[in-house]
Amino acid sequence: MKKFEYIEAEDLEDLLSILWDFKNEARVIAGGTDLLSIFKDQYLLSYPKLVVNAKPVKELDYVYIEGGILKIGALTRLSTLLSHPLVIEKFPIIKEAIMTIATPQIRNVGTVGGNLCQDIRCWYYRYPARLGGPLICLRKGGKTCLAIRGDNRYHALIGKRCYAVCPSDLAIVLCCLNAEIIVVKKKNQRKLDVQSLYTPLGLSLQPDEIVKEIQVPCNYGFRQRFIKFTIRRPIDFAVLSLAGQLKFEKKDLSKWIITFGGISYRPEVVVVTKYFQKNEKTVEKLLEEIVRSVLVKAKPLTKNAYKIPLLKGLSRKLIHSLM
Amino acid sequence: MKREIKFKLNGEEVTAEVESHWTLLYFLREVLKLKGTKEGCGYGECGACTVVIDKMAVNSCLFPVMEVNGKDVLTIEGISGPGEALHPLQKAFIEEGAVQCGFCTPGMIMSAYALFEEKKNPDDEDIKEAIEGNLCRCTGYVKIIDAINAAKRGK
Ligand SMILES: Cc1cc2nc3c(=O)[nH]c(=O)nc-3n(C[C@H](O)[C@H](O)[C@H](O)COP(=O)(O)OP(=O)(O)OC[C@H]3O[C@@H](n4cnc5c(N)ncnc54)[C@H](O)[C@@H]3O)c2cc1C
Ligand code: SF4
Ligand code: FES
Ligand code: FES
Repeated sequence: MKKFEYIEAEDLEDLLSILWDFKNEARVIAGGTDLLSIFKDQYLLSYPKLVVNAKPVKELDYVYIEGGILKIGALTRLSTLLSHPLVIEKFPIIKEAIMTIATPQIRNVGTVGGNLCQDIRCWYYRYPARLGGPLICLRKGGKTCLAIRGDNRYHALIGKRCYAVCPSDLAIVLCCLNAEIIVVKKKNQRKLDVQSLYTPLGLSLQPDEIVKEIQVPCNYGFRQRFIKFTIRRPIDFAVLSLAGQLKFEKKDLSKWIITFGGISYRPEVVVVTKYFQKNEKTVEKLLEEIVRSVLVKAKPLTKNAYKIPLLKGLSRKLIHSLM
Repeated sequence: MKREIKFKLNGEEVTAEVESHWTLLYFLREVLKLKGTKEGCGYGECGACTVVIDKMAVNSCLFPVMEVNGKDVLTIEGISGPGEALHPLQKAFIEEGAVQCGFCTPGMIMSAYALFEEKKNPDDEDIKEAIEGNLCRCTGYVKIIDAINAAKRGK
């Protein structure tokens, strides 16, 4: 384990000033379920000296609806969200997704902010020091992506230099629900859509910024559904994940929002508005749209082309379950 | 740098000097020599290190020791009541044949313990969900579920 110093933030203001003062030398810890493994494996080239515990900042632990928007504090634990009456009643898709995330033990400490900001799972990137790491791939400033010539079966179909996929299932669902992310730092606040939190080589956050709140509009669809394909049933990251919602705009004019995880560094989105007929023709049209707007960008690596037919099959299943 | 923490461990107040980067698991096993809690993977995947903190099951291998300050921690060594050699869950695991090599057992029992804290009368689905984060390479889980059910009936 890489050594670190530890302090507890007293409140949000204190947390933001510590991050402001220390910049790259400090890192927020929420549940620690991801951060401690980063310190254990020592796979990064440099480590912050200071870990700031954000958990005592109780003002970021909440779930409520205000003005037609579900507001979730970044320090809300996954298990709290899972059993929250507002989520169960209005956003079953969030519950469906959290049920598939990790284990009860991890959901009891892991937070919403930590889930969105967790580090990627590429096995070259995470190659631990005790086995001879760290490996210096492109994401760490090296020349090449080691996955391109290596075992890339779980890597992205749409790559931009790095082929690691967004590991957060919550991101896929929140993107489908059109959520926005409130990011704060000392003296500044900004709003991002879920896709913009991720860039091909890491999060779009500055070292002194944190995710403060997630805002999910309550004009959710008529039906919502989450599908995750994994190798093991419990405790596994997604090979592919899909979230979908079907809304009715006007009589019979339907809007389909479908997001995909496991294919790129961020959730990928397809939105289709069309007159609704409950038949195979609709299914085929939507599938064509998915191919036209998302799969067209796919450039499979040596071992992950199987994700294309898998994605089509799962999309068909998703569309059927939404109809 | 050593830091002082105070917390409740198995019903007793503990004050200790710890290093900031230790995990709770390291502190329990290597410093306090409480070897009931096991280390399987060290990454949240196996549940062998499960302890109960403020009534919730948690992986002690991914829990910073600094964070137990002020909290109530229960390990397998502390679940039996006063004057009781074994907790009903421990007895049920033995009687139902739910222990083979025994490596997963403390973690399984702590997960089941946390489940009973939350639900007095869990059904099979609740039980399966509660032990989803606990791997067992020996029993095939059936006897473990039987044992948790038996403990529930005996309560
Ligand atoms: C065995 C295992 C299986 C898993 N399976 C899944 C899965 O199937 N699907 C899935 O989605 N996830 C999965 N996860 C990931 C898990 O959900 C995350 O570890 C957890 O949600 C992280 O939350 P945390 O509060 O513990 O984060 P921490 O470990 O405290 O933090 C993680 C990272 O985010 C940063 N951070 C934390 N909070 C904020 C914030 N508010 N603003 C900015 N940065 C922040 C930290 O600095 C750190 O870099 C799994 C994890 C494990 C260990
Ligand atoms: S996919 Fe990204 S993280 Fe993995 S080896 Fe390639 S550049 Fe590195
Ligand atoms: S040792 Fe903690 S989960 Fe395996
Ligand atoms: S009894 Fe051996 S791992 Fe469960």
